[in-house]
Amino acid sequence: MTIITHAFDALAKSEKDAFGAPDHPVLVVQHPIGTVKPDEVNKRADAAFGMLIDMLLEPQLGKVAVGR
Amino acid sequence: MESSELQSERVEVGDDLWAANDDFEKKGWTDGLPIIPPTEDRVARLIAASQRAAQDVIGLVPPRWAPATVEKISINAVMAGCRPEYMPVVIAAVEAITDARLNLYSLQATTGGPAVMLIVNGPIRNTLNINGGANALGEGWRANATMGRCIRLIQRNIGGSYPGTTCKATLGWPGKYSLCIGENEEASPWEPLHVERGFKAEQSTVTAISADSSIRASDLDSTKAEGILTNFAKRMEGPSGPEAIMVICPEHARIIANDGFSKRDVKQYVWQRAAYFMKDVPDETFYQRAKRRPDLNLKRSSVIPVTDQPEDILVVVAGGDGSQSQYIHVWGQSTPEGGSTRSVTKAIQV
Repeated sequence: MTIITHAFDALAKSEKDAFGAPDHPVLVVQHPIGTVKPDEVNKRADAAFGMLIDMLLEPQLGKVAVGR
Repeated sequence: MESSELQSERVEVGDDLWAANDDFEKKGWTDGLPIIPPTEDRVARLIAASQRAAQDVIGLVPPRWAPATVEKISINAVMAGCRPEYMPVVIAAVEAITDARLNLYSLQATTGGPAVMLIVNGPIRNTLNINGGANALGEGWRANATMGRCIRLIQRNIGGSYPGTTCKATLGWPGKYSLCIGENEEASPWEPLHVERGFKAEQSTVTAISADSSIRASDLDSTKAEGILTNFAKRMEGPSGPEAIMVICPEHARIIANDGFSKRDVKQYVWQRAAYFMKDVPDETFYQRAKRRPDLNLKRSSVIPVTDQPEDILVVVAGGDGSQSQYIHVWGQSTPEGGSTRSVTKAIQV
């Protein structure tokens, strides 16, 4: 399971292809994270948490975007 | 070499150079500048000059982690305009960029948009006319321009680092076209970079390092080392990556050395003064930085030096006449583990 921001979509796909793991589950959250206030980061984390658990339990969900 | 030994896809482009360039550009294989079409004959000549087998793998280039074979390297070298005799340097440079210590993956992907800077030492600079004198960081020397460019094309065409998609550079900078210099060892009062790193003076080496911007460190007023180095330190305030690069022009180097400063002294003096004062930054910046480096136990009274240690500052003498030095900022992060990227020096096999 890998968590990325949507700006790194294409890179994530490239990496999955390079490693022969096209179905590797990727959770996508909104970019950016680095220049966002901590409470906004926490909100996004909370919004993504439920989906994170679902994907860990059911990896076949594949790539899912949250909060775009 | 038999053309059957070459394994790359053949692409028909016809004889018209303009049309060939349009085709390569449409396929995303160029850096925006015209290329030399990599015909079988040209590629074979560069492979022969490398004295390696065409399918030797020099390293894996991220983010695709694709093998940089001598053939693929030669294709990009032809495109960049390299002469065959540059191949030993190019091969050593690819060894350096694919060394895990450089962490090319992070350089390729980051919003920081760094270039890979190449610094060449040893006799090969003179053999191949690799400039380290006047305008060393500028244009005009085929070896500098094309070898640096070749590395960038390899990052793109073999590694799959495409600006806007897999390469997330927010701005990038012109160094990404090509950034390759020789150290001006003949004008330097100190031991050259490769000797500092344990190589013999008569060996030739190439050092690859992350570089994301260049800041002028001119000083036409100081006649003493402390003035020149204090001016330099002012330019270097604020953390660099795990390393930082001082490109000192010969005039400045002579003044500094004549005042009794060794390279080690230069690094120590600048490191003590090139500081990022936590008392001067806004609250949010302070708290974010303290969170990022809990190992430093930052307080408002803390000072973050430009690098974790003085030894992490590279001092390279280059340039011609004039009192114009430069500070090159290294992209990357200092981390408790030793840094997210480290420069790598490789011997050039001639």
